[in-house]
Amino acid sequence: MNRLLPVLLLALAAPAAAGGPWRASETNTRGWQLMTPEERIEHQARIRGFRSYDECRSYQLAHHRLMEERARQRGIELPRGRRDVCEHLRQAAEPAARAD
Amino acid sequence: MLSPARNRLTIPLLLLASTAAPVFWALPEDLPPLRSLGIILGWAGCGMLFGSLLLMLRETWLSHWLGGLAAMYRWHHRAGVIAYVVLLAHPLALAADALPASPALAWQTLSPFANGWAVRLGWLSLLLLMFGLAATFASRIPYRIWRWLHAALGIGVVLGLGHLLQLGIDEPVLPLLALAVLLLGWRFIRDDAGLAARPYIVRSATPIADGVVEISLRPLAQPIAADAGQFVVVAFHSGAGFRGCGQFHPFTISSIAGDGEIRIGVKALGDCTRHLQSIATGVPARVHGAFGHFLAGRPTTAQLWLAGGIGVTPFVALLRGGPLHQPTTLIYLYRSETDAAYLHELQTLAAADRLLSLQAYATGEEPPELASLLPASHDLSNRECHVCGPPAMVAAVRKALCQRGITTRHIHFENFDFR
Repeated sequence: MNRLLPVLLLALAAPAAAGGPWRASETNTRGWQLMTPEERIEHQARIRGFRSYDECRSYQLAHHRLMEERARQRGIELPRGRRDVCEHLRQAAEPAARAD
Repeated sequence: MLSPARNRLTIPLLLLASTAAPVFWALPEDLPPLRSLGIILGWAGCGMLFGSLLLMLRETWLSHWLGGLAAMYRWHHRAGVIAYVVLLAHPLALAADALPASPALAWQTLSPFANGWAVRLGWLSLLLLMFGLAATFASRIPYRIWRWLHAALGIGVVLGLGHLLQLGIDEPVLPLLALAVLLLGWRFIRDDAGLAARPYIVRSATPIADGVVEISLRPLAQPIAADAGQFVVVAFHSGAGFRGCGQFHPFTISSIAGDGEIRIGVKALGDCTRHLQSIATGVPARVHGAFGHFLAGRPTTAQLWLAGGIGVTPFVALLRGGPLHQPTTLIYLYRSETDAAYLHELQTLAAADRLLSLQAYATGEEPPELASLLPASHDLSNRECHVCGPPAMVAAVRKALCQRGITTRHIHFENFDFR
């Protein structure tokens, strides 16, 4: 009997159950339209790398300030991001805080 | 032994699973269609490459499960090509997503100069994959150079994972990177450096035709387990006044003795095999295998064997193993009498075994006239056909047999076409 294939299929199917990586987009990144492709990639990598809400929030505020400045220079209205990219870190931290 | 149909499906299913799993894991949500497509293509190519990496391992147990080493190498090559094409389309789709906004933005998305190491590593990986694949198709390159160029593919895989790490995706990329290094290291240490092979020594070398030598190998430790019709992968090292090439090449076993001694037929087809024509007694060798199931599990029905050139070797091994138990016709095609390895021995064997009918033909430089050489349709019914030889000849014979009404289920073949 071929025992290899079921084992491999199960091993390969395991990661499919987990969620994929977070992705920066127009809906969750303020000033997306004002960023270069390199900045978008870097922003996405930075957000993915944060492990605490405070770190993420501090970066987010700096990012927002930069985008507001760019929007002001170009004389355009800056649309607000529809999602808080640091929210998932706050949610992850809350159960731990309650346990303390 | 798996049924042939299940064996044929195992590798495609494995590749499908290795491609689908990362795609499902990374399936984009709420992104524009072209960006989603670009992301899917990237993960699909990554999964396909991992399937291809697994298929490059030269292990007897794995080849048994996956339907043979020849099939594994064939799919390793196919998967590599498909992965490269898919991965090349990955940045193009991402750039196409930016094209409606502006061509400049689309170019910025692609440009390694306008981006950081995430994009640069992606392009470096693609360039190495292209380089390694180009070498794969260049069959005229000397094997020792070809091997190193082909190794560029492995470096390309590692750099591709570096591209993902630069994108901030460390889960599950770090485990994938460890797996890639494990598979590449396994192949290099166990297969290329010969850790999985067993030590043998050349006991004799006998020229048996123009550019063909039969080398007898005596085991220095536990011998490999092998059956007639199988092949081994052998590297000959330096010793006894002979400078070995040290590269592992596949050779068909022409006989197996009770004490584990094996003989292999070596035809001068490349630099290393040409050099082996002058091999001396006492040269150390490492033997890995055995692989293949070309003549395994033959039914008791009448047989038609068709051999081209050195492709006669597995049949010789079987005939040397003892008398036949079913009527068998062996059609042996060779360029000229001087090229015909084992011809006189086969004539002697045919004279002694009433069940064996030998038809030997010198075809010259032209392709053989199969229409006149093969038995008529009514003579072929209820026969199992086994074909071994150069890929072009095997393909022509399979086609001719199908035209005579033989179903593919009754045609078994082995090509001598992988490095």
